[in-house]
Amino acid sequence: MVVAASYDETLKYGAQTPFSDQLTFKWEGGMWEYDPYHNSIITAGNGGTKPTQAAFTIFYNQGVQRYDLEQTLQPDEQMWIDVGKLIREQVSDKNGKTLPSDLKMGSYEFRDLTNTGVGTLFEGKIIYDKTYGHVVYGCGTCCGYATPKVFYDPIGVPLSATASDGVNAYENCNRAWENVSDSFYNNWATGNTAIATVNTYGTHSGVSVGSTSSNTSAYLDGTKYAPRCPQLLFAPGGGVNVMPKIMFTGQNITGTTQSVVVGQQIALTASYGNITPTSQSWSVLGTIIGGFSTASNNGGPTSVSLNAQSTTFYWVAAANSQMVTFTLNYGSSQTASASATFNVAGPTSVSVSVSPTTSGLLRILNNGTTNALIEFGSTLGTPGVQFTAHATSPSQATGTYEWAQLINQNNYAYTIGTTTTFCNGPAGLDNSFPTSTGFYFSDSPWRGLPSADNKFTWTWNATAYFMWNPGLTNSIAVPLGYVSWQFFSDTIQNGPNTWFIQADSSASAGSFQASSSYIQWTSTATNGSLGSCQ
Amino acid sequence: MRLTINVLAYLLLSLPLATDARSDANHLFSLKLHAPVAPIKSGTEVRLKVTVTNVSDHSVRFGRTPGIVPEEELSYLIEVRDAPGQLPPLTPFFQRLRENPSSTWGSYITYELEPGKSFDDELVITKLYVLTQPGKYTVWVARGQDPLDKSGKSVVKSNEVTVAITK
Repeated sequence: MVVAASYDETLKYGAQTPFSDQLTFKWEGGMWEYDPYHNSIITAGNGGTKPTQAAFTIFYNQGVQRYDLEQTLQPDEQMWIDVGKLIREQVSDKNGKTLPSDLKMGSYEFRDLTNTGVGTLFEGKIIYDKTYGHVVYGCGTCCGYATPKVFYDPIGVPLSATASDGVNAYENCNRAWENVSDSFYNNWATGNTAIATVNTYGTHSGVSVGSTSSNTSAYLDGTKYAPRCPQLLFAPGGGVNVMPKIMFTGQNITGTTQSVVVGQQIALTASYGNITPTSQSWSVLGTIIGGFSTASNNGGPTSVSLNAQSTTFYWVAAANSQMVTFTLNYGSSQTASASATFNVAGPTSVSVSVSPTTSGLLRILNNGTTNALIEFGSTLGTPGVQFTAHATSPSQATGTYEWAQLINQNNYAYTIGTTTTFCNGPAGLDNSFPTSTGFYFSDSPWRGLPSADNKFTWTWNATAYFMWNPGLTNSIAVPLGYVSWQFFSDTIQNGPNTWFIQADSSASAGSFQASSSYIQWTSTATNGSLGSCQ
Repeated sequence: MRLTINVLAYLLLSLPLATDARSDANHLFSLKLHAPVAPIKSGTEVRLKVTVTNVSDHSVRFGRTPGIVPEEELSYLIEVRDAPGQLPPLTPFFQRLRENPSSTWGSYITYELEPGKSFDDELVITKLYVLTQPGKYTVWVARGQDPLDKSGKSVVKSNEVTVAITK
């Protein structure tokens, strides 16, 4: 039995306490006392073969407050803590703090700061009672670890990249999981180094897509047969999945969150080494398209290809946490996948006001001549329809606000004598895409009034789309909403080349509809183009 | 077959023009017609750019065909002469517009041009005139604020450029 002893200077009075008979990284002691009739002396020693840093902590005031000392202990060296002396002489701790002068009791803890998994500290304590001359000795409770586990099981490792793992163990005194990774250094190994390797510190490297396992081992102060803390050998481990990588703008974004905007080109490529896939696919949350065609005879969103190693698409609607997952099937029913998350921003506070649209804006130009025409509004005065928009661009891109217009109906009918002929005017995209840029858009359509006719009607229906293009490389315009508007003009020639607008003429416009629906067309209606009757 | 008046073409051909609008301080804008940078091979498209600049001290409104740089040959008066001073042949398209005016239409947006600012239009000359005969052609153009306005009160004439057509 190892004993610690202390005597006064006369060597007449002394006390001894046995040390604990084992070493560990942490000791928790019970109550110490200090008053005119009691004092406590607490000891700890280094039972190892190398110096170690020992931390001693006194807990008081129901464990709420603490007093910390640290000391380097050489092999076999002991530290003696006379609690009464610390209180009486107001000795400062390492933080400059002193114990209250009226403090009478508390608890304590020793911790080996150098050897965290397998400690080298032993400890002991005596409380002597001057009333009866009794001395009471006792040992603290050793603390140990149980059930070490790797951080991640399985751990996902991107191909040709690294992922770090470690070990947590349950500490029985704190009743909490603690990181004991450093105790497990140097013993890591993987089951198949053709798939993954691991270094001294548990950092895994993906060699090829596939699954294997890894583990490590180390001795820890355990908790077997409490309060004993014998060293036990532990070998925690888990699965290792080497995943494909998702590359975006030259960077591996697997497992990360990216910030993008609507209309931004998202070109992703999966990297999976020399695996021969049986199939591969992408899944993307949110509304996406493969592109936006502005061809004169085939305009609108294009489809996206999601069954190849690479995919290119555009988000149309803003939303956070849009997950993209690449799934690779290979070998005999083996699957590997990788994911990344995108926060997709877009313009906010979008609104479009529509100016009053009435049939009163219809007017005859050059009336009384063979050049008579009817115009809905006036480009230099009050246009037939006017839209004024507001929107706030996302912080990533100011971009450009654009308008495009789809002419749904541009039909006319003319009457000569008693015969009325109905004609389909050109419909489709209004001239070109975009129609105009900026927050303001207006239109004043016009049409000639043939002098040979005695009646001429014109039916117009159009949808104006408000859009935003972030202006980034290869970006496209995305819709923010639309407004539909229409008019009908009924004109008669009631004198030679003298035209009159009849009362059944009408005009109206709907309200702005926020929408991510795209404008689509299969033809373009250009100024000067002819209708079906020419 | 439906044949009616082509209003716009007729209007443009009948516009009263300022003889030298660039020197007329009363005009609100100027037109600069850009000459081709090189001779153009016969049979290929002749597309000229014209820059409209607000030379006034206030914003000026224009009626324009939709588009960032629209093709506006039907919104301008375009005068073309060959070396002997003759009008080149009209294209079937333009001939049809002039000789068989038909019911046509247009969609004009309102474009507000700030003082000192400019916008560009493109004019596809070969859409109106046949320029297959090698030689030199002189071209000038004119326009008003509102292409539909027959009064000609705001019409401005451009500079004259030479277009060389080669075999």
